[in-house]
Amino acid sequence: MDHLVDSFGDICPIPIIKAERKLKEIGTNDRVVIESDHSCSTSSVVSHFETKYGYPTECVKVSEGVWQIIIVKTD
Amino acid sequence: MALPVVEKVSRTKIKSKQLYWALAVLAVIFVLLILLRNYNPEAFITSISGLFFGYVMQRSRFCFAAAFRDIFMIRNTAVSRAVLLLLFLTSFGYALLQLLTGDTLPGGGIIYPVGFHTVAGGIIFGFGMVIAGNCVTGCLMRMGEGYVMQWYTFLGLLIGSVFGAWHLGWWGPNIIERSPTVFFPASFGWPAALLLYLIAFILLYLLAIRYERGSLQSIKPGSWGKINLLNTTVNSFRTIFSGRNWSYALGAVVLSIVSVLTLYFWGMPPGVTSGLTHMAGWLSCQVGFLQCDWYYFQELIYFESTRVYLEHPLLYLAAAFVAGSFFASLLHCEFKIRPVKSNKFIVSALVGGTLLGYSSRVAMGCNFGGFWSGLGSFSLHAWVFGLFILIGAYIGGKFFMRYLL
Repeated sequence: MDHLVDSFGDICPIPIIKAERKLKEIGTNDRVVIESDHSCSTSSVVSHFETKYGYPTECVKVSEGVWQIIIVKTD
Repeated sequence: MALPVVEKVSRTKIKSKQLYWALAVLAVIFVLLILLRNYNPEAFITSISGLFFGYVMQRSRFCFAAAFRDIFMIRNTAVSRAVLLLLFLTSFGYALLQLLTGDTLPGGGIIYPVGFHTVAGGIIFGFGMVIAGNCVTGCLMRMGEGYVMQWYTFLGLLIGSVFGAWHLGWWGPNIIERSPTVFFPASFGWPAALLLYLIAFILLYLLAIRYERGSLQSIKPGSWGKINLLNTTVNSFRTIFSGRNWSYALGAVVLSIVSVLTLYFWGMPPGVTSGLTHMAGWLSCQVGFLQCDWYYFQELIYFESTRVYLEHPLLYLAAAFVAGSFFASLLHCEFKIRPVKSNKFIVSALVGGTLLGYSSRVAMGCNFGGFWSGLGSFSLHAWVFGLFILIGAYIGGKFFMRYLL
């Protein structure tokens, strides 16, 4: 199941904190999808969940200056 | 609670006209640069450097605020380690210039007194940086990307700079002029200073990994031999032209090169807030807020350039920084006017910006000139400034979690 985290207009590191909280609530193999217009999160969120948690993470640009970052909770 | 299931993410290519705008902006930048070349040759150089800084920071999402803040707020040192790499490469680049030319440092370095003003400035800067959500360079970068919040931070920066420069009339004679200046190579000689730097960077790097992961087991020295420098370089060039995000490390490498080249061509390392102070100070004496004969403009003016107020080369660097980031974000179809989410962030941006501007004057530089270029210039003040930015960021992080989250 996918869980949406709305992070529009949030400044760093709010997107990461919101995603961490959401990941704690959800089950294994569920995905968190962060929607954000914060350019830095395309690097910082992906790097945080890939290297620190080892979760497969992908960032997709959905429109001009808007991204969806998809994190799969694997444990 | 069940949340709406996200639709399958569309991977269709986004149709965007921003690429054409990027080319138009590039053309305007070229015309302005040509005009500037005869009018103000110093500003011509710093403008080119500012364009590169803005472009590279936008692509690599390089962020000094994250380097300090993420340590405490999300226990992540990825950006902090990239900043360590940046500082390492910059300082060894400056040292190489000194070795080759023989007269770069200390005359052309950012080597300032270290004292209570550095401590106070660092704490205020660190705090302001976290509540504003960015440092001074991050603010300029986001302004170019269309974030409205950072324009409030910028306004705060100007206000804070004016008050900081005004108050230097007290800080200057009472604190700064009584504080010692420590330029490591003058104290211990170049070989010892370089060795000291090398050891410091290695230790800090290991400490960052140890802190983040609880152990050093993720470092496998055996794998270092497998790093192929040629492949890495080729891949880096691919990234630069592919439109993907640059890695933090690639950002650090390119930013340090731009910094060293700025020192070589301009004769001074880059910075930004003194340029903003010259503009803000000029504006405030135009409206009659204060006289223009403050200590800052009288006593400290010789540090960077003979060109002052609206001709200050670092003011052009700041403007070019915004333009470089604006161009980069258009070129990659990422530009968007992003409104501020809530009034609380307008206040935090304004207050944070004011604190950043004020502390930059008191500490004699921001994260760019004071910290990055100062550390590259082998000045003790930058290390002390960095340490107290860290403490300020810790306090700011606590405040952020309580009132801004």
